[in-house]
Order: sequence, then structure tokens, then C-alpha cells
Amino acid sequence: MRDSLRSGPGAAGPLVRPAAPAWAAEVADPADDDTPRWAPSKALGRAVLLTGLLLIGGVLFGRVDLIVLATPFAIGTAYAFRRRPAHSPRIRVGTDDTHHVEGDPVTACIEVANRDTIAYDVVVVRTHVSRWLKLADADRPHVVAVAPGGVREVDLRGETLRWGRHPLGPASVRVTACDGLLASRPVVSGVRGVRVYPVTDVFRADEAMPRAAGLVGGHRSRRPGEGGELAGVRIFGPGDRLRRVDWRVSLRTDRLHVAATLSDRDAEVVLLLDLLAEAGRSGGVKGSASVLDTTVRSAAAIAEHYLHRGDRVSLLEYGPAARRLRPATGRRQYLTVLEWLLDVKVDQVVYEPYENVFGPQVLSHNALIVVLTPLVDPRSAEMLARLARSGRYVVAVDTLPGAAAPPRRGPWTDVAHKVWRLERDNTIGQLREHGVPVVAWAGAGSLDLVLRDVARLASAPKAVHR
Amino acid sequence: MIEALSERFRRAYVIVTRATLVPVMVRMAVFAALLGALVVTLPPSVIEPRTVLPLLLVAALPAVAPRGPTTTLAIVAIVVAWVVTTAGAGERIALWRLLTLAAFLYLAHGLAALAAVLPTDAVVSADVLARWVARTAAVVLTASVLGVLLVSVSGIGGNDTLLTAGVVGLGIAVAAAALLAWMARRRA
Repeated sequence: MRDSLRSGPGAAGPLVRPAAPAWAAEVADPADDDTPRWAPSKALGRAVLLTGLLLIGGVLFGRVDLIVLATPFAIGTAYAFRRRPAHSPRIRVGTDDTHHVEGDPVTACIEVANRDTIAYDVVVVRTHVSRWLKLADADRPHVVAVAPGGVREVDLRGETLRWGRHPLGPASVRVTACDGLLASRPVVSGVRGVRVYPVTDVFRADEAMPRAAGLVGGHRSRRPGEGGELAGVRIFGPGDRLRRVDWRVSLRTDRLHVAATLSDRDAEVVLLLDLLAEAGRSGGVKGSASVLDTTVRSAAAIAEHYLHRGDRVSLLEYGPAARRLRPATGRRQYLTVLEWLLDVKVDQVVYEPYENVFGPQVLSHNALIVVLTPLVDPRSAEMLARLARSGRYVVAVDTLPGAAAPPRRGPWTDVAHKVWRLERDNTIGQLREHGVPVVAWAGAGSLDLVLRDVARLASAPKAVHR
Repeated sequence: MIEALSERFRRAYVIVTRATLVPVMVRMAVFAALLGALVVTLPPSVIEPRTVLPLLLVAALPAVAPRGPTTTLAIVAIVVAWVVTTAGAGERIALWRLLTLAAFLYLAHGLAALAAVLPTDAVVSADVLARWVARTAAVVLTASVLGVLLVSVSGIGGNDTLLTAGVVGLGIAVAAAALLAWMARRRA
């Protein structure tokens, strides 16, 4: 725990190359300077006042009993002030781990350090916590004592509810020392971003890619070459390897025959995230999923699947930010994808982001484009149609939750919503007619059916509209 | 007006429902200490059904609002009541009453200081309360020993009372002034 706190976001560094700008790193500790930040409390004023009043009364009236009454106040104040704090307390927030997945247990830690030679009698610690970090008693102040020169940690245990970068902090601390006679001014810590990666649904797609692009890889292509998939048996020719000779056919026909195979090649998968609209209510990992939740989780699952098979995966945002993650392969790319997905957010814009997003240098012509879209915005359907017309292999994954509905504003809301749903179904039908299969996200095997269709289309001759 | 009142009631309801055990215990201890001081101070003849409510109010106000001036006012009121009720008593002041009153007043002061910095809904570590009570008890004990010495030296109600009170009071006042001046000068 202490190590993760000391390292901090800057020093520890993510295991993967940050695909996005670092988010709200811990700000400079405002308590670094040694400016006295201690003020007398009302209890000190009361102790001095009562001591003075009782002593003066005792002297004026000649009563020892009043002086006896003043004695504990005088002794208590003198004892409390035998030493005085000189430094401000230090506070820092951290977590037990730098990588969490939705639903994982998480422990947030607020560390208070006492650099003085006297104890902190009462340390009141408060912190802000994102609502997606469900930490026990995080909404209450915590009160501890800190020994001289010591460090005290307040642990808040709980679990992560949703993917994203969630702020932990700022935390504030207010210290009372000298038996409550001196109080520090509040010291505020920086904010720490807790990275919570999306949980990935199990995804599997057994169907062939429409067009494999590389020279080697895990997909059988539709071109002959060295591979494992049998394409047929043909007469031996110059350059054929002897181990390819099909002896059974050769003996039967008295001519040398070889087994022809299809080459295995890799492919590029582009995951296009439609970020023009958000709908539905996100209930975290155990609750309902919004459009953004489905988009991010399914993107992570699809990327994991294809990267595991050795394909190149790139990501692209369809929105004003138009962020792009370059195609790459392997586990490193998977971690980068997860990091990239943490910064996905919806920005509503009025202009058409198509031209900025889909330049010819961005999208490979052979790539399979999986568009994760709720099809709420008309521009999304237009974008899909334009991609299909440009001859690319497009599959649309519908991410709109079935229960998503607008807030009820009048008696016609339900009717209007039904009409809108019908129009949307019409749009989906039109997209299918244009060769864009649209499937709802259903985890494993979601894309098998449509990938088969796309692969069949890819093998057929086609005319591209220009 | 009604909205402000309902908002205030709503806040009070939230405070009550979110309150935790330790801060409530500390405030109850403030109430108990002040009530004890009142019982020790006032003669039994004064404590009757008609005066119970005001006495409870005097003890309860600092417990309810420890951050305000109510604690100071309550202690001053009790001291004034003590002066009035013991005026002319002379040697008839029982030592146990005096020491108990001193202990109760300091307990009320110390616990009110703790209650003032403890949010009512706080999760309080056990050692905070233990250390605070231990320090307060040590001060009360030391002051009691000194009080016994003072009383035995002066002999309350004797001829030398005025002189003893003057000398000891001036001594403590000078010491307190010197302490405050020293504290103001030093930085740490």
C-alpha cells in the first residue's frame, strides 16, 4: 500500500504506453511550505478567560476555592502548550493497486503524516469519491490520532462499479493539537485518478475474415498459398514441395498430384465507436448498461478476441474528438486498447465529423470495420451507408439498450418513442439492404452470422459506386 | 419562511439520522459533566420540579452546540452560582464538593473542546477518545492534588485566607502571563 502511494501516478507509470493524455494527476501538495497554519481554537479562549476570571475573582474576594477551580484550567493549558506544532500536516491519497477491473475490490487510502514532535490529538479526514467507486463510509469524516513523526492511514474498502478514470479526492484534513487548543487550517490533497478497466464479455467469432491483408496470420485467406486449409488437389508443378504430394491420388491417376492449400494471413479490424449520443442509464457492472457501457465493453471484448488471434486491431472514434489508435497486434496493443477506452466519452456536436474521421489514410481498404453504434443520430446511419458505398466491409453492432426510453414529459412521450423506434427499425432495414448487417450485441458469437455474409460478399465480384 | 424552517428541520433530521456513537457519547458526557456540576453547586433546596427544566437547559445547550459560546456561559453561570451559594459559608465548604466541582467544570470544558471538533457523523478511531480522556483525567488528578494542598495551606474560612488567596492567585496569574508571553515569542 505504502509503495503505491509513494510511487504516485507519475513515478509508477502505467505498464502500457498511455494512449491518452494522463488524467488529472496528483496536484502539488499545498502543504509543502512550512508557513504556520495553526490558529487558536475557541477552547483556548475559554480556558484563558475562565482562568483569568477565576483568578481575579479569587484575589478580589479573597476566596481560595475560586483559585482551586482555576487550577485545572491553568494546569491543562500549561501542559497542553508545553510544545507547539510547527509544521502543517501532510495528506496524500492513493489506492492499493493501479489496475482495477469493473467489480474488483478496491482499497482507497488516505495517508496523514505528522512532521511535528507533538501528537495530533484529533485528525478529521474527509474525501470526495467518485460515485463509481463504492467505498464503505466514504461519505463520512474519519477521525484518527497521529503520533509525533508518525503516519496514519485511513483505509476505505469497497469495489469498483464502472469502467473509466474515477477521481479519488481531493481529500482534506483538519488537525487539532495541544488538547484541542490549537487547530490547523484545512490542508487539501490532490486528486488521484483510479483507472478501472472494462470487464469484457466473452467474445468468440469463428467465421473467416472478409479479406486477410498480411502475409502471415491466423486466418485462412481466399488465396492459394502455404497454409492449413485444403483448397483442392491439382497436378504437380515446378516449385511444389514434395511433402505436399498427395500419394493416394497420384497412385490412382498415375500422375503426380499435390494438395493445394489456402494461405493463412492476418487481418485488420477497425473498431469504430459512435460517440454522438448516449442513451440508457448506466447502473455499473451489476446494473443496467448504457450505450457507452455496451460500446466500451464490447469493443474491449472484440479487440481481445482478434488480438489474441494475431490480428491487427485499431480503434477510431466517430465524434468531435475523433481519437484514433493505430493498428497493432499483440498483448501490448490490448493493454493500450483498454487504456484508450477509458477516455471514451460522448460529445454532442452539430457538424458532420465524417470527413475528419474517415480519410483514406485512416482506414485500410481491406480492413473489417466493426461499427459500434446506437443508431440514435441520423448521421450514424449516413456514415454506415457511406462506408458501405465506398466498398469497405462493414458490420454494425447495435448498442442501444432495449429498455432505453426518453424521460416521460407528457401523454405523447410513449407514442413518440414508439414511432421513433419504428423509424429506427426502418433505417436498420435500409442499411441491411445496402449491405450493412446490423446485429445487437450478444457477447459470444454475436458476429458469426454477419461475418459469414460479409465474407461471402467479399468473395463475390462487386461494383463500387463512385 | 416556511421553506427555511422546513429546510432547517430537514438538516436536523439528516444530522440525527447520520449521527454515530462516539460523537453522541462525547456530547452526552458534556451534558452529564455540566449537570453534575450544577447538582454539586446548587443546594438541594433549589433543585425542585420548577427549576429542573432551566437546569437541564443550561446543561444541554453546550452539548447541543459545543462550538458556540454556550459552554463558556454555562461554566461562568455555574461559577457565579457557586459564589452566591457559598457566600458566607466559610469553613463550611466541603472539600469534596469543591474538588468535584473543579473536576466537573474541567471535564465539561475538555469534552466540549473535543465535541467541537468531532463531526456528529464521524467514524472515530477508538484511540482518539481514549487518549483525550486519559489526558483530561491526568489534569483533573493533578489539579485535585494541588487543590488539596492549597486548601490545606490556606484553611478555607481561616484568618489567612485573604492573604493566601491573594498570593497564590497572583502567583498563578504571573505564571500564566509569563507562559502566554513565552508562547507568543517562540515559533516552535
